[in-house]
Amino acid sequence: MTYYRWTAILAVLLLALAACSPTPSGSVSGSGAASASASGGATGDPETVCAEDEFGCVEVGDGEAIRIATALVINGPDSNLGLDAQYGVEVANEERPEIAGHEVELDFNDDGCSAEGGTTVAQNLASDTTIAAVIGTSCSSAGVPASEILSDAGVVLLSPSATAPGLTLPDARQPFFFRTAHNDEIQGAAMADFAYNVLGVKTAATIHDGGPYTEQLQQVFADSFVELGGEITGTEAVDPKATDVSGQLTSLAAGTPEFLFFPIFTQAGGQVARQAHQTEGLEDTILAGADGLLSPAFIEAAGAENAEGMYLSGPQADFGDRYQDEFLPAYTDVSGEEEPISAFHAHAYDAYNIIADAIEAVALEGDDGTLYIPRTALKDQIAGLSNYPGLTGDLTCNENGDCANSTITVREVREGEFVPIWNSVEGDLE
Amino acid sequence: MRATRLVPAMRIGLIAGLALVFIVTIGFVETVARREVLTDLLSLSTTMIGMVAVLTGVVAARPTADAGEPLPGTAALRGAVAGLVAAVVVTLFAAFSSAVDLSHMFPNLRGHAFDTVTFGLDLPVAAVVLAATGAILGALGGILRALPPLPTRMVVTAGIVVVVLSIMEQVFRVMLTELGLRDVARFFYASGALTVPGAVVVAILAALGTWLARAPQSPVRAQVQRVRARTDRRTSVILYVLVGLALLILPQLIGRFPSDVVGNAGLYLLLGLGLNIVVGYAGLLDLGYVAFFAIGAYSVALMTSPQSFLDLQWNFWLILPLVMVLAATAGIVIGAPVLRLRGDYLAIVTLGFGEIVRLLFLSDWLKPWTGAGQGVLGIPGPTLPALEVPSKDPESIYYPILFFCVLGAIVAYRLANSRVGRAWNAMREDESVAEATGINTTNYKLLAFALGAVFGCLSGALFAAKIGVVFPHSFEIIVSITALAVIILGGMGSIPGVVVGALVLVGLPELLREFDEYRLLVYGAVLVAMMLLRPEGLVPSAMRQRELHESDEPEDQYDEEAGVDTGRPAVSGGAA
Amino acid sequence: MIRRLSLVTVTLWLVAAIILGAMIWGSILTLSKGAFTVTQWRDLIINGVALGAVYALIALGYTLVYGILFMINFAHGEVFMAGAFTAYFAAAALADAGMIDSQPVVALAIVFAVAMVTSMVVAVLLERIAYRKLRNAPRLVPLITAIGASLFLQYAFRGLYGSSVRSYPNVPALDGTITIAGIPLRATQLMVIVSAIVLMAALWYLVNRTRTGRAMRAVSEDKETAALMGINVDQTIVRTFAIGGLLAGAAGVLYALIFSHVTFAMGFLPGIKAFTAAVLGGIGNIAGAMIGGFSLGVLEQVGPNLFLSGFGVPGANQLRDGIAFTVLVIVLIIRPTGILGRKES
Repeated sequence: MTYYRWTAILAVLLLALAACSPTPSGSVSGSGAASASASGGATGDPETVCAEDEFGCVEVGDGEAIRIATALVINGPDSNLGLDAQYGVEVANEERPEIAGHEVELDFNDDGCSAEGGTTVAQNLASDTTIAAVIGTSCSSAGVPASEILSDAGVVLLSPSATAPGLTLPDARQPFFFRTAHNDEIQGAAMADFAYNVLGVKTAATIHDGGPYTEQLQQVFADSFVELGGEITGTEAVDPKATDVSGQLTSLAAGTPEFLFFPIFTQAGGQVARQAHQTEGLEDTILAGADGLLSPAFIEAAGAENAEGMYLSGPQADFGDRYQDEFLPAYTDVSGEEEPISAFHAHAYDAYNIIADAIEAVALEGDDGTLYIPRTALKDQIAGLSNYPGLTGDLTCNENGDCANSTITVREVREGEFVPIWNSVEGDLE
Repeated sequence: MRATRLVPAMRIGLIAGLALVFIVTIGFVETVARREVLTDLLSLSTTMIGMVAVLTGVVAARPTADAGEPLPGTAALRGAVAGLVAAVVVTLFAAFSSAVDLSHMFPNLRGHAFDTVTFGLDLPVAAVVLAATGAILGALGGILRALPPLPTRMVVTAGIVVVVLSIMEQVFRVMLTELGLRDVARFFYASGALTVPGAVVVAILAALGTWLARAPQSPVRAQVQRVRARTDRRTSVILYVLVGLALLILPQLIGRFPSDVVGNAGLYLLLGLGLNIVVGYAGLLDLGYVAFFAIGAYSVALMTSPQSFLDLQWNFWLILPLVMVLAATAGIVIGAPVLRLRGDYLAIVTLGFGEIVRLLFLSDWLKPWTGAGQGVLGIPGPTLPALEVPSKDPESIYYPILFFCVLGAIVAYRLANSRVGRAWNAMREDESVAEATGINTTNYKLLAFALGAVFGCLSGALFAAKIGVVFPHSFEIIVSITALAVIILGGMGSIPGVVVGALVLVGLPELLREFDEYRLLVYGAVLVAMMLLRPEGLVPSAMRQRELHESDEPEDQYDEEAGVDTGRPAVSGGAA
Repeated sequence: MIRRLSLVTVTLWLVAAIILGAMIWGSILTLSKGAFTVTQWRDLIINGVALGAVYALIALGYTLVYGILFMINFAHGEVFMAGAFTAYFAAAALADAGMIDSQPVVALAIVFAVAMVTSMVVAVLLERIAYRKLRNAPRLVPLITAIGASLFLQYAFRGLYGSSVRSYPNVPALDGTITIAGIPLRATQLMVIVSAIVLMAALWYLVNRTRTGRAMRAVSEDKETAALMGINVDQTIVRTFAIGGLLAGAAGVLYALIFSHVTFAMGFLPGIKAFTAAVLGGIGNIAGAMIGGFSLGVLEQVGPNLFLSGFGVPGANQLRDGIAFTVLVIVLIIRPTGILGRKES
């Protein structure tokens, strides 16, 4: 073995590995140096406040940037979910590049949409003492370990899209975890309400894909549906990458349900929509899904003619004029996408602004221009959020960290478009 | 023409050019372009393309069977030609992609995919610049090949060290800052990369270090050799103690996140050690090794978590013996049906077992017991009852992982050199012969499966305790394949090899964020490249090296085709 | 020693018997409950046969290569994906041009040709770059190479064509059903089954009646002797890979016609399944690959509902792959060389 082969192998390896590293910080520069002398809204002596705070302070030197991190799924098959939220954060950052006189530097990370990914990213962020707060995670499976790790380190974690009820259960929730996304307890119940009371169906079947989010959501739906007086005729599971789902559909067809709820993701969801009406016993069954299918990619995967007439639940669809006239154009600029690629961009936008406001409310400025952000005070400030005029509605945090506007909208697929027809507050929209 | 051998050089240039086009088309280059190697001067993508060009030159200038070692001039010429051809190929593709919009088919060719390659210049200008650069870098590569070994080694080492230090900015900058050397950190690093002066210093130091370690007249080298020659017990004991101490203080030195990464690498190290017993020692290709990882993780989760249906809340350490017994049983249960199957059948059946185990943990059927998609939450760390210390943060969990890795390595080492190990060797080389010499292959196979399972389950147990939650999606086949890649890269049957494999394949990618996009592509390439170029691995075991090379020695086809082995005397002193 | 070995064997047979018994008992329970209609069973079986036809075509690629090189080309699933994915672009272009509506036969022929040629090129390149040098290496080496090649190809195609799911255009000519012997078959399924049978017949003819086939059989018997007899071994091996690739490419389009979706990851699972099918039937054995493919397809469709729903197992179809692998293990316990046996190396 000569030196060359060694070197070549090593070099190739290193390159290959190195090559995959991203920009160290996806900094979005604001308007140059922070010249404004705005100081924090709070008063007091930074040294005493920081010493008294259980987790101390984030210190941002004069002229240094405040660092806000994201932990969203931005690679892999679920990347639409995370990128959509990331664009929301970027829009908010462009609108508001400075907090308390300091430029904001965004640090984009991937939560992998898995427990391991959540652990890794949380350890990374928890070890970086310059991170003021984290927007994330995208997925509930990542959120469970991440919220624990970051809470132990006193870092606020504000999720725009992790909807699993477990994250805010009173006995399991982590003190530094909050979310601007709805809790699936609400979405499942709203869908059951819509199916039973609006559509008037009495029997339903459900499909999940084994992921914590889909499994939980169909369970909440099923429980609420039964509580309303309906009957669940069967539950099946598909693989998220499944192509052949006819076995599952036949098994469900045995119970001849009137309504089939499959809150899963694009690929398997497309197959269910394609194959359902070919299955004897499901020809006339009403099909329904949730926010995982709320993207143009699903219409393509299912074929427009198969998706036609489906009902899809999700967060409120239209957040008013400000959303239409200001947010969406900015979103298009930032992302290069003509329309949102998933449903949680506005929640991420709100998350950024909630954090920014909270920092401005609690931060203290030292004599040398250093900004001190006490960590526990920051958490308490967010926990006390009340009637906050967010893009997604009036937001108030409850004692468990749920801060969302909980209006659930049901859309019908009409000629390949998602048309909002009902929401859980106003009822029929047409 | 024949003497200078330009046609093969052109062929190499063509291949290099196509390879470059390929990595541009899959979006690799664009991803890398966002990262800098030298602040405000050199992006990683440019570095990478440059290195490909230099490498092309090196390969093009390799000695040939009929002409032997080329003269420096010839080497430079060949390198230049190869570099030029590569540049022409890239230019042609860049021109084509800017003329015809291919982004519908190749999403990564959207917009300015080739800008990095063409330096953002207009095509006619870029063509000239590219051709010149390609030729110059290729020639450099050729000259590098023709230089005496020591200067070459110094240049190459300096280059690699600069790139590595720059890429690992995240770790080193934090380390320097933590050590109170904030100004030093500022000198070397700025906005995520090495500064130019920093890089110069690093390169000089690296070159100097190489000279000291390798040059015949270097005093350090003589010293090292003297120590090496004196392989008495005392020296090695001192060495082990030093390494041990370093490992013990490591988490305090590197801090939280790198400790977490080392911990993850440790989990795969343990997996690799176990899989090494099954694949490396006994020669049974197990593609369902993740089954044991899952069983270990779920046993710990169910017996320690307050949220499991068992609600036992036992201590991690108390149940470990139980987990090991369970593991060995699982190993035998899975091993028994495959006893009579040879190589290829074994692969698919074990793969099937891995899937069955995952599906069972995922299934609605077992949901009351395993939690199905909801997983098992709230798993406590491996607390020692006597010690009231936090046990789950990365710096603490590092110690149990280290403990089991060291223990595992010792066990694996003793096994390899025991009667059992020799029996496995015999069995791996020829099962029928082994049986004829009185080795009970049934028992030895089951033993390999059982022992491998114990290692896998231990790793899974630590995984569950470390991360605190288990979900079925953590146990997909990719875990088996990663573990396999770990032992292949390092060298099948080699314990140091497993360490290297785990650090490079599991540790590095976690340090380099956003690696996920191309991680599996690189794993695949590593598996293929290693098997073609160096099947015995980077740090091979002596026996495996003999085995893999005795068959091709008579024909010598292996070395000739790989091309780099013949001609020059080995300079690395046979480190391989 | 013989006694101990037989102890293991006896235990295994017992386990196999218990599982088989449970399957039969479950089937009886399911059928006596009568939850499913006859039509539903019939549809499941037809779906299974169509799926099995695709598996069989892929499995033939595994078997052909195994028959000659005694190596498992683990990356064959990716060869299948490469064809189907590349042909998507041809199909989409043809749909845009209106060809699929106006000239369905010509359009489908073009799509098939693109897929088959792509898969063939990938298979041949694979042999040339990754496998040729390893022909005399220990058996683990090419197998690991193949696993690596599988990963590499998967993610290379992801890089090339992107990670999103693409949907094949609908072929109006294949809408609707055709009734044969009183059984209504969807035109797509009929087309898949018929094309698969035609391709298999062509393969049989090629192997048993042509010079190339004779060369393949000779090389498979003994490479050295074949070389002495004037057969170009390298060329024969390349041809074998090419034929396997052609079949996989065709299988890719058939698969895409049934399920519409193509993605970079679509090859992995069908690849594993086809590999299972080949082993089930007896690897290296062409008839075995066909039998294995069809039985696996039907087993997957019918199995969970038949064996498990009688026991009231929730989410029975989730365990589909588990059932397939369990049956594989049982078959291998009873017949270690698969249903039809295999060629020994």
